[in-house]
Amino acid sequence: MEMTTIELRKITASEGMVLTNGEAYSKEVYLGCNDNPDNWQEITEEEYKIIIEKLNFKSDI
Amino acid sequence: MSIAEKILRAKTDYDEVYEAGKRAAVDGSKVITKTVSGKGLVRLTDVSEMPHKINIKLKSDSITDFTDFKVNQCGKNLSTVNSYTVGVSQSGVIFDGSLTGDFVFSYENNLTDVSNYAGAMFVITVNGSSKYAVPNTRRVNISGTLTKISVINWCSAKGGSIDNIQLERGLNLTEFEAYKEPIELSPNTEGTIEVQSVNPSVTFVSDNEDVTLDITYNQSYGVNLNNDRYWRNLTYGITDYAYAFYGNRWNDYNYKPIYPMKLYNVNYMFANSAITQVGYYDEFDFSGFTNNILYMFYKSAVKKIKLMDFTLSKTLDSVFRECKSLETIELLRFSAVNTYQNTFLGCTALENIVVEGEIANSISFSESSKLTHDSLMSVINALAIVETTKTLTLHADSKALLTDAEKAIATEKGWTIA
Repeated sequence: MEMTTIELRKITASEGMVLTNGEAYSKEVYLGCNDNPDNWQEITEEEYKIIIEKLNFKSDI
Repeated sequence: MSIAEKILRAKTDYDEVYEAGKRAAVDGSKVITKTVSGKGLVRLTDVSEMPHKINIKLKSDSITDFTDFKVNQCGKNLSTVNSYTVGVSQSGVIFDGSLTGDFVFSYENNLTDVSNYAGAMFVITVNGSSKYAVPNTRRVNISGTLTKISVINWCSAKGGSIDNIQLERGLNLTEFEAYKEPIELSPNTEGTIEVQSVNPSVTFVSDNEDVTLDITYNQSYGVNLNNDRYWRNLTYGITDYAYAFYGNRWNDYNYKPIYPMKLYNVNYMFANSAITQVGYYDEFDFSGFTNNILYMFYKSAVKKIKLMDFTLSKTLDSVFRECKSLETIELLRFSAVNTYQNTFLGCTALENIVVEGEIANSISFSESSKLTHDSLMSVINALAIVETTKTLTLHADSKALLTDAEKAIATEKGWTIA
């Protein structure tokens, strides 16, 4: 019998909030082994929508 | 309602389409997307040498479901009678209906043994009265409202025939084409029909006079798929493919490169194109693919890609962005030098990808909710071990497909899964 311990550090956004490290956005984040929860902060969903709208905006070429 | 009555309502200036086609054919490589509209009936002349799609959209203010409607695809010759033989059919009605505009009525006089007149006599009846008696000629131009064309054997011919009888819309006599039995086309609920045609001239007729037909060619006029010189000029020895197949005028019918394409500058190469498959009948040489790559497939209709080898490339900026039909990339080769900026943004249909090589910089599949478990594992297994944290962004549905142990493969390599 082999027993494996899997360590996952998960942070979850509060209700109405989205997590971001300035690069990625998510409701839940599984931290890499060298990552720190302090690298992630919460923004509101409204702020997130504005960011995504800006990201998606690209005028036709 | 007869075809003739529907012609009365036609508003299509098909001559314009014909002239545009001729100009493009002379140019030899010009690609044209053209939409023509008409109420009840649309005729268009197509000079393309290759098969192509014709998209028909039925529109009506009062109709929301077009399931029960039909559209007939006819040829250019509107005369159902194409020949009269003396002794068999002495006279008769060639056309009976009502149409307005410019038309050419033509025929070939092969009457023999004419006793008292040097040829046959045709009587063109306009609005019930005879206006033209035209012996020994092979064409009659008609402008105005036409209701009936009759042939009367006034000249006592004892033999022979009148052949190649044709009634066509327009001012110019064109080569005879036998009357074609209409092909019945059925629209879907939204009123859309897609057909392929190589007919030089087609007429689309709705069975409802209130329906407007919008007909769009997605084709290249004058481009011959088998034209070696055309593809040689376009691809042979070329490495700059920026905007080469840009726009929805390029599709699976006219994108048939004969020579391998050595890629270097591919910015917007397939952007907005209607090409659905890349890498199957075309061939790429990736040995010089060392540039930054911007928007290569942006907003294209591509559905399936066989191989993209980015091993030597650098930044992959928006390469597949907004490819909303993209389902499969059979093989993606990445390397540690690749960086990813919105590379897969908007790839909402993406299901299957196989990754070879190494992913060493943050990458996102945030809008790809349909990725299979195998695809996700292919990505995770390709993640390099990194000292500085990188981020793999997945859609919530994708994260749900992965077990904790599978997620841990990524996190233990230094990757955060967002």
